[in-house]
Amino acid sequence: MDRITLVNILNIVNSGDYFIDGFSMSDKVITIESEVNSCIDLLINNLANISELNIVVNEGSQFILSLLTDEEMFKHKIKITVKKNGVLNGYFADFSKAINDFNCQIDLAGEYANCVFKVASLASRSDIKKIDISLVHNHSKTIGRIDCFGVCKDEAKLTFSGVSHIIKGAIKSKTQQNAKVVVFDKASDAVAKPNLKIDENDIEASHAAVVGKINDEHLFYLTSRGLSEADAKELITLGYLKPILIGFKEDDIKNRISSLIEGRM
Amino acid sequence: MSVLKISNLHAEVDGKEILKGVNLTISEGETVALLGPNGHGKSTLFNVIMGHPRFVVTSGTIYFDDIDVLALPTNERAKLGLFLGMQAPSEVPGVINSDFLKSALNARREKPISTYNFYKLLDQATKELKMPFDLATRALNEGFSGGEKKRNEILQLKVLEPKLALLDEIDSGLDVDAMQVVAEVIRKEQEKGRGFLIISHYARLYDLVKPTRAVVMINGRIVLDGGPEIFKRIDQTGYEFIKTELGIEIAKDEPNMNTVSIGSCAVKTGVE
Repeated sequence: MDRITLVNILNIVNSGDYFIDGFSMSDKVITIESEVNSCIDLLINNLANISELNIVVNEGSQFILSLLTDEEMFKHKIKITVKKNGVLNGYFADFSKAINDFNCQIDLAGEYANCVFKVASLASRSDIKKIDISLVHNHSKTIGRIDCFGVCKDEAKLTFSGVSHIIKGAIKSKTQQNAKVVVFDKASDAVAKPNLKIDENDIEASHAAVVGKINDEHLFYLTSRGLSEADAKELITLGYLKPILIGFKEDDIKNRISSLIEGRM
Repeated sequence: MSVLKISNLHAEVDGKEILKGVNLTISEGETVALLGPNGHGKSTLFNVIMGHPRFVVTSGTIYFDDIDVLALPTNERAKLGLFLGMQAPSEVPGVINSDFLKSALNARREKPISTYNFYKLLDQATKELKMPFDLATRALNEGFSGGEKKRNEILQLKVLEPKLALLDEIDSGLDVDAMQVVAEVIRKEQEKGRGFLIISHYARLYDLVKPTRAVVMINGRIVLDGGPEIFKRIDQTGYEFIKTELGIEIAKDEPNMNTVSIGSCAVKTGVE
């Protein structure tokens, strides 16, 4: 198997704290495992060359995973394992076009494992997008939160789905799944299915799903201050997508995301 | 001088007539207390003036500076110099307070304000309102306490500098200190010649901002227009004198009953 440089990875903090296993251009599979008690900040600014990404957040380590995509047609599978006391903060900014399928499975595999995963997705024209992020609480006192925010316009179809599963014995675990999509046009089609599967009593769990047009009260509030309806709609829409910027530290990437949002709106 | 002139205004919400012929004129620089029991049309009047889409004007006129307000969309009404400080300001997730305020300010300027000047203005206004600056950098009203939301309304008023501000129960949710701060800001704005039409159920705010006039709305109409002694009297004795002295029966604020049938009782059916 050829070993090659990860040209798409722009930023890895503490370069001594990671190793890469099994990556080749032919199978497009990358596995990245953090060392114990390390800190990794990984930005992949174009997922095109990766079909499968395996992340292992080792004991006591913190992993920030920032993913950005704006290519056409992709199918990605991401598997994340968070071990005891490990923390994963995931950010996925999806501005891809056409037909896309993103599947992410997160395994909270040790006590106090913690994962927060945020998604911002824009579907327009005739895009068909499926974003599924599922999380399994395989151990006690684990914490998981998934927030998916999307904007769906023209004739696009956007589906957010995922299951947060707390297994029997994973006591004191906390899980939260939120999926919200603002729909612009009559021909747009959006689905939000944040599911909970709970096999333990002593836990905290919540989920929320919202699919709808822009709230009339929000629109009135903004226009009552002088903004035109078009400007108010744009501001509200950007409000769905721009919070993802918090997951991207580099100014040039932030600017690229802002341009992608504004360009496609 | 800017004048708001409302004539024989009728408006309804969800098919129910709320405003039944409102006549009211407010001149620039006046501070008018708008009083009345709950459910008699005070907030509806404010929403109709600003053009809330839920409220339908069936007849009557509103002119501001001789411009037909009802013919304008909401944002143009704001640009004319009208401002509504809301009773329950919306929480708008993701929209940053300062971004929103800057966009609102630029909407009424020919040349956009520079970032430096905007933040200077914002810094000054937040200090005056004793608001932490970070509220300006958070999502619009999201997670704000009741008092913070009301201060945020006054912050917007200060930055946007309207000619006439309609304040709908701006004192609800404010503690005693916050009320003093807000009243002080209103007093400074009064000195600049700004007009105010203020709804409050408590005399405390009126004592602090000293309205020049008081008007009372009953059953969707203005039935009394006079000096500040009116709100003092209402604060002490309530609205009973409207009935005894003016002979106006005050309709009770009754919540709409849900007319949807839930069908026959399953338990009763089971027992039978």
